Amino acid sequence: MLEPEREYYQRELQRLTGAHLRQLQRDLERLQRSGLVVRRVHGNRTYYRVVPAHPAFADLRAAIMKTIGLGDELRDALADLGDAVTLAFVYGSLARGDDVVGSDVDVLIVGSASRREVATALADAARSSGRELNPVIVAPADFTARWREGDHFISSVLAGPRIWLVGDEASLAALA
Amino acid sequence: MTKPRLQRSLEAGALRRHRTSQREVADLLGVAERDLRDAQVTALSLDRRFATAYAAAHQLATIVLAASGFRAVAQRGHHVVTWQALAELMGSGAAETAVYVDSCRALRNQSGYDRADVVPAAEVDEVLREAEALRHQVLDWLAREHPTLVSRLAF
Repeated sequence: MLEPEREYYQRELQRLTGAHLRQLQRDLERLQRSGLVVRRVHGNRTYYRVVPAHPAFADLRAAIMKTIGLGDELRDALADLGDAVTLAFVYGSLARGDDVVGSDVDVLIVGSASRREVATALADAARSSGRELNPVIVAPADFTARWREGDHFISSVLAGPRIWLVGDEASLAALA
Repeated sequence: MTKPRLQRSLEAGALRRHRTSQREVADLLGVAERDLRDAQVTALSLDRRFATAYAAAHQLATIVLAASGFRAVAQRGHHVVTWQALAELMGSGAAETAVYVDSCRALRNQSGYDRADVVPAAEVDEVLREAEALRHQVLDWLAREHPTLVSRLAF
């Protein structure tokens, strides 16, 4: 779900999920019937791939991101920085759901943390996700000033969807 | 070989063997020092100053690779290869710096191509501090590990 263009073969899915083969096959069959997954046979291998055009895809993916997906890892990593991060969210293609394999993960961080602290905290999440993390760090006072001035970058980020990592809409409103 | 990432990069063709010289090290250092000076010019945009300080850090890392007998092959992702190699060649002291500057790379790309006025002033101060610290680290490392490459440089 987090890498919608990637195909997986059966044994790979078995390894990733730790499920029994029979159970996995039953689940895959159900997912195919729902139209969320398609299979492709190439040589003696069967590949499975998620269907991003499925009506439930965007919601399911957002749910995964917000809970067990990359979002959780980023959330834990940023929690280590404590008060140095006032708020943080994912924006850009991943938040919109139109990212492709290898798209950068754009993260806006408002806080007093330095880039070195943020980069160190996020290093493991970046490695395990295989994605390039692109944090933009803005000090709270700077963020408020730029928001009020109608700064192009801040307004374009705020105009798009976001996946919250630290704080929520109320903490954002408090900075206005 | 005890440096698995270097080995993988060599096998993947992202790094190649390279023989450097006193002259090359001095030239690269000259470029890095010019960029460090330019990055302090406050008449420039914050985006440009950030990119210039990042470029200085990249030159400094290139010196470490060259002195160790490597060069990153100019292709997509060669900066990542350079930062990974830096961490392995200079040891744990440089590992966090490598993670830091690699993170700068994404911001530099965004501010250079996608959007203007992305880089906050605090980030420029931080990258300048980090690049200057890296310069000292690299000079110390050269003097310790490759004294023949720097004997003509003024310390």
